[in-house]
Amino acid sequence: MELLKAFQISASGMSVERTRIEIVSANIANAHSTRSADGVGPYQRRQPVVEASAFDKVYEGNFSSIGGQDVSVPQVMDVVTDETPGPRVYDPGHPDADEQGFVAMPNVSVVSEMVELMNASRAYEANMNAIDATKDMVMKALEIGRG
Amino acid sequence: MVTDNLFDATFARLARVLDLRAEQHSLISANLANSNTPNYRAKELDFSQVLEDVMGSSSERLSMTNTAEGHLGGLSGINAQAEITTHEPPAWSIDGNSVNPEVELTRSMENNLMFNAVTRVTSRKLGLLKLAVMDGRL
Repeated sequence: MELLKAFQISASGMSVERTRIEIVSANIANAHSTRSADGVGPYQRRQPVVEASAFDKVYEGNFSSIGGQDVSVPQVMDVVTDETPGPRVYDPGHPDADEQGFVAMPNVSVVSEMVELMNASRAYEANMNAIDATKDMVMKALEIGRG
Repeated sequence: MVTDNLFDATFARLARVLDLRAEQHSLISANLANSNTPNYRAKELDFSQVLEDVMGSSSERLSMTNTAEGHLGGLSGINAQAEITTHEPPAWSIDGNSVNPEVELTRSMENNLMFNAVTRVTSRKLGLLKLAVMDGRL
């Protein structure tokens, strides 16, 4: 049933946006972590890598096109670390300060992370609306021939 | 349960599909309940395969071979067990859990809609029987 595929497409979108929100939250929470888990350098911000995968690669069944056009569903393929160096702050009393008294801070910009957060949260809502619309259509289809 | 005239093969198939939808529902519930269990793998009923068995691709597949007179005709494949697909977690998963709440919830909605559709078809079929039993009077 073609309509039910729309559910799966929107669900992938929601899932990707939720993963983005999880990663952004981790970045914001660690905006001041001057030590990473392995003890080398400050925390480095994470980023999701989202791929538009073919529908039938992600879900069961042979469904890869509508009207000859490929149908893609988003999928988080990997989570990567942003290697760009963060700001260095002069704070000689800090336990993580180097010989010159500078502390390497995480390369997290709270402002851009907030923008990313809003963006992801709106996109999540958009997918939710698409699911609602699909559900209404299926419910209407069930009404056909009734009374 | 399958007698020749009153309750035909379609009733048996509809009943089986409702059973399978209920089974799918318990799998979805189990997945959602385990959405925070480390190393839990999401499970799903593979509908496309089992429906083919339940429906039968030709009329030959529908009837059981009667090797002796007096054997009751049955529907082969009606009790076909569904394969359960297990989903692997993505490579970047930290806890090895492969439950995707959004996908499970939409699948649950889809399952619910399909269950409703099948119950509706069943009650319409019963309505036709009732019409016949009541001598055409509603």
